Amino acid sequence: MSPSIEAEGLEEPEFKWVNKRGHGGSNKDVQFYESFTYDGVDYSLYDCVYMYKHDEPEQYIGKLLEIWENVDKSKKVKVQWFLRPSEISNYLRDTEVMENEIFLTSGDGVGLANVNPLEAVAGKCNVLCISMDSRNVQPSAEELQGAHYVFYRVFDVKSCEISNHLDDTVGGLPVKFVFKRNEGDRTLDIPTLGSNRKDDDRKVVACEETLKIFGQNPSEELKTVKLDGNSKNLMNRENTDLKKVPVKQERLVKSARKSVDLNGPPSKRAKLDDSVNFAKDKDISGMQNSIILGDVTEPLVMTSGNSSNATPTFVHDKNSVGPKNVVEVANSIVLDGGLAKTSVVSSKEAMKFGHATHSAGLEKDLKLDEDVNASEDRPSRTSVLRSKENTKPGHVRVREKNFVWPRKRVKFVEDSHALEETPRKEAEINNSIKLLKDNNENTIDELKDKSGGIEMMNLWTSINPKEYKTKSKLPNNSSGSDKGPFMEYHEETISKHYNGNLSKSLAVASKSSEERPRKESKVDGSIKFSEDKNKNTIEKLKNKYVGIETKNLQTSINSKEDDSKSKLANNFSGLEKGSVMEYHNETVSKFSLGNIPGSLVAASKSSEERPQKEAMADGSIKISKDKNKNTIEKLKDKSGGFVNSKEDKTKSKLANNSSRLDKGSSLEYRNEAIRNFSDDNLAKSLVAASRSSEERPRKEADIDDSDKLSKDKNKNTMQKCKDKFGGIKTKNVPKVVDSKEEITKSKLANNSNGLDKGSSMVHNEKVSKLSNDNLSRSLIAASKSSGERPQKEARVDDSHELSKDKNKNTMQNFKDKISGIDTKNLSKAVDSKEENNKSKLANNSSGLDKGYSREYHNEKKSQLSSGSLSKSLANGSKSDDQKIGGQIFEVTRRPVVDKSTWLRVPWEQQMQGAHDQGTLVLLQNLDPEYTSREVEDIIWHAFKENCEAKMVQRTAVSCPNSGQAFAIFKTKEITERVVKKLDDGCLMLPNQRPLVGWAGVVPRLPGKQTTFVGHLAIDKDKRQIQREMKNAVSAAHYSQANTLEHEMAMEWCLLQSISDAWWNKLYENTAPRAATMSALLL
Amino acid sequence: MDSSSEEYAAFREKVKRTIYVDNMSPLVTEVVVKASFNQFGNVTNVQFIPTYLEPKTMPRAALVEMENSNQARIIIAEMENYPLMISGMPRPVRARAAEMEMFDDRPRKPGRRIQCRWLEPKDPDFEVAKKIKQVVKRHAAEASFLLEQQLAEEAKLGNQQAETLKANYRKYRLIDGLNEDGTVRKLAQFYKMPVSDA
Repeated sequence: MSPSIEAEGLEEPEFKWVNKRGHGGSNKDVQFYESFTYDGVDYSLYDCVYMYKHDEPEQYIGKLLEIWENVDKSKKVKVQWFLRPSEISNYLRDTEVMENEIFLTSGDGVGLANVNPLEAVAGKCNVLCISMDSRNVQPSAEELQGAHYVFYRVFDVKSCEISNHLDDTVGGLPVKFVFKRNEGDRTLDIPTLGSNRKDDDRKVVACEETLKIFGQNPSEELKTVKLDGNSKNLMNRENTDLKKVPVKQERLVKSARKSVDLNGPPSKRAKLDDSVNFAKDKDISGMQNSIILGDVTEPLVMTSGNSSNATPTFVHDKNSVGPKNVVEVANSIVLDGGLAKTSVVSSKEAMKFGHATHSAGLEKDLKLDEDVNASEDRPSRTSVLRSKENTKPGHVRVREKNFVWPRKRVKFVEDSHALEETPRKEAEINNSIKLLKDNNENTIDELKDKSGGIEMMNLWTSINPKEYKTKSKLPNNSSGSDKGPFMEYHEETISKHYNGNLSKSLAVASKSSEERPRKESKVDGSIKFSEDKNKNTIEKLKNKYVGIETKNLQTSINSKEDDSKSKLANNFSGLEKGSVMEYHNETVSKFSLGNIPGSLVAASKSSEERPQKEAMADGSIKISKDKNKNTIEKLKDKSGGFVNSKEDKTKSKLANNSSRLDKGSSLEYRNEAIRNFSDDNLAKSLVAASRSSEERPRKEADIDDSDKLSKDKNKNTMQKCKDKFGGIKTKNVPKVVDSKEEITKSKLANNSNGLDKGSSMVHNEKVSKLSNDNLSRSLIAASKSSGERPQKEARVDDSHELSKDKNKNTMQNFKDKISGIDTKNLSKAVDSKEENNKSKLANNSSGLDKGYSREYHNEKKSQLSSGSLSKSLANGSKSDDQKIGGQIFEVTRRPVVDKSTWLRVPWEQQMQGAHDQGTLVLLQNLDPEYTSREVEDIIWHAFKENCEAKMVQRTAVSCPNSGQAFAIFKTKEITERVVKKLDDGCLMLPNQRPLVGWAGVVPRLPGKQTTFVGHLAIDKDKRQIQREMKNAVSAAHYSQANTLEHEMAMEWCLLQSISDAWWNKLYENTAPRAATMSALLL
Repeated sequence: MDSSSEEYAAFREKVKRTIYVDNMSPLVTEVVVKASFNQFGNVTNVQFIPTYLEPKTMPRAALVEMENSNQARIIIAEMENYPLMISGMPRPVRARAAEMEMFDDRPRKPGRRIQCRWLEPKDPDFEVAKKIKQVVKRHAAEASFLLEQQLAEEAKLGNQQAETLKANYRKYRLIDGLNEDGTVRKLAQFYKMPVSDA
């Protein structure tokens, strides 16, 4: 070991030897070195270097195995190669390769290593070994970031296989030189050879053989290496362990963030660990992220490790007496109407918070998933909130009692078992609202939003401590902004955005006799103002809310009297009269009003129990601006508010929801745009009967009113549009007269949407469409026990849409004045002890179609027969063909038919038989997404006939927007009737698809075919081909270029693409044709 | 509800790892397809798509489910570049990514609601709907016409290629024959040209 320095003042860039190693054995003139300096860079053995590649921009990467100088002063290096994925792409197949991953060669053979002139070294390359092997020192995040390339797998040059297993030697190279080395190790590693002459001698010999050196090393050296390796391993291991710990934690944090299960038992943790390991394997680049995130999320994870009870930072209070929970609600949390519904029925829900802010100040995005497993037997209520965010959130799972209030502004007010208290909760919307970073920051800067005030009052009156069945209460105030920086929502600062109050109240009956009903109301008023990306629009935007008040008043008067009249929920969410929204801009705005009141009343189970009532009111106002500049000049909205009130009289009135824009409220649109006004009213009420004889009915009312005013993008279409809505009134008056029914589930939906007389709409030159969909459904399920009563479900969905067309020239002056649109749905379910229930469902849909207005008054009488498990659909009446018309029915699953699947004839056979008997029908113009079962369901609901259907599977030449199906009916008569009915009438499927039916289609069943167009054979060779057929692999091959076969194959490819073009052209033509046709509809 | 959406998600995954292969000979069997594609990955399932509506000469199509979506993707990309012959030449098979609607056993899309209604004859939409129905029928007719045309084109190309092949074959046979019966050698001798043994 003589650290001699020889100056090499030769040609080229600066070069000098640094450390000598020894002389070659047989040829004493060969001088080995272990390090040198070249062009100012220090190289030593086992460094990874770039090697010049001839004429190629991409350089080779290799590891220096040997460095020596020959007698003729030529300097050589022996290099073991790293391979880029592109170099071995043939062998990669579907192996996942990281972006900067390379592969070390291993094994024995050509391509493993080469001797190159030293001058070919182009520079140092930082290749990091990230092998999970315990012998490897795990790299830190910084190192990862600094690495040019990483590797953990080797490529065997002989077998051409990739493996991540590292033996003791890799291609002859001791594995310790493969792994990442600690800095301190270097000096230890390298000099060993220098002192050992014998080894050196052999080395030289080996060297001259260039390849396979290490494989032939004497055992002596191997031993030393091994010993060395072991000690090294020990050392490394310690280091590794030390290093691993933080890494693991970080990982854990990361994975924990993905699925934080606060309730997680210890086993969860173990799982997390597993996933950590897994993550290590796979996700290396992601590590940095996790590290960054780690610190922040750690406390969260720690809590997750704890038992389920401990969530100190979270608001979870079992006996909380009037807790005041301030939670921040994420940007735009949209409560799923349907979700609320399902939360009642099925208590399993998922809760997602996009931007949730932990009160502790964690500032990451999490998605909260709450799985509510709590069925009715759980004391704790589970609440489900589903929020949709504009941004991408992470996921956090919360189970039951564990509430993670993570991340950005989520307000989550949770109420637990409040004993006779009237906790009041105020949701304050905190300042920390992050507006997603907009593209236009300037615009937002100039935005001034003033809100007079937001008051949300939730008054809770809950009488009854010991309820077991409370499911969920969520008052959620969400205020968010779509785009923009932070916004402040302090009383007078409202901004654009989203203000949501969600209130839901679920009351579930108490189980004990003494229990009181519990009432909860949640009010959710959400106001969304979303601004556009346009600068100009936002600059000019001034929103002033003088005041937004959301009041939830719940008064539940309930004592031990049976007839208790109680006003359950008064939800008052509104823009009060004073409130003025001014849009001094020219943008398009969407104004949507949504009220979702829902009331759930769950009956008590014991005789003494009182009914519980729940009211949910959700008023949401969305004002979003569109991209148009010039559309709206002023929007003045003076809307008194939404009044949602619910009165519950146990025997008479269940729910009254009225939401309105007061008369004073006027919306003025002076714009040149097209607007869509859609008014959706969804009202649902569920009445679920109590189960015992004494039980009270349970009622649920879910009303969703949403009005959307959306403007279109057309600029020049409308000169001035002034719309004044005198008022929008929504009254929902469901009456359920129910006495002692045992099981009654009824959804009663009453929607009355009125544009009051004063309201005049649509002064424009546009075609406006108003589509009204009324959906009503009544489900009657018979009770199962003798005493039970039938269940009723009625759902009415009213949606009004005013949508304007884009055609300019269609109508010059179009003035539609709707003096009034009244939609009243009165549903009464009167059920006493009779078996037949009569339910009147009135569905009103009023539509404007080119001045045409329609009203559908559907009165349905549905007969319910107890004891039968049949659903009766309102329009599924037994009427004959003539009677149909106008009604909308929802296709649900048809009742179970006798399908003895084990005796089923193959479809083709069935179809052939059906064709022979004339019972085969081809249905066309279906949504291609439908499944065969769904087609059967449609047929069942439309014709009350069972059939066997089969969707025609799509092929390359199928029409992409129209599906076909075969249907087989039972008899020819039925078939003829169905076809006739389809022919004469019009069965409208969703998306404006009238169903078309054809009889007499001849199905082409696959038959024997021996020839195939395009497969050629010379007669003589036919036999041989058949022989080849048996050996399929030889029959399936890529054709080689320069053969006749290939030439012909190319001709086929050409034809294929030509015919593809035909089909595309065809469907390009047909699609708009169909579209224009359906545009003529409603 | 959970199970159905799970099922649906699983199905979507399945679609992703499936290749739609068409332009296949009716002689091709499941075994052949499986063996063919096993060259490039692991086939887990093969399902032929029946074509009840198309003419009998319609080439067969199949859904080939691979082990994972990556394999499927790579195979599709490769087959775009190189014509693959299965059980015959020279017409290559063609591969595409499968779509949900191609599957017979697809599950219901969770949460889909289908609402239908009968239009009343006095409804102004009624006439429009009637027209749409006509259009639908017309489109179907157009499609089947185009398909016929396509098949005719294919047949034409097939015949043309058969002719070419036959001509080529005859040519080589002729040359072979000349070699065999010594005509070539005689001619070479006659013209005093050196001819190497073919």
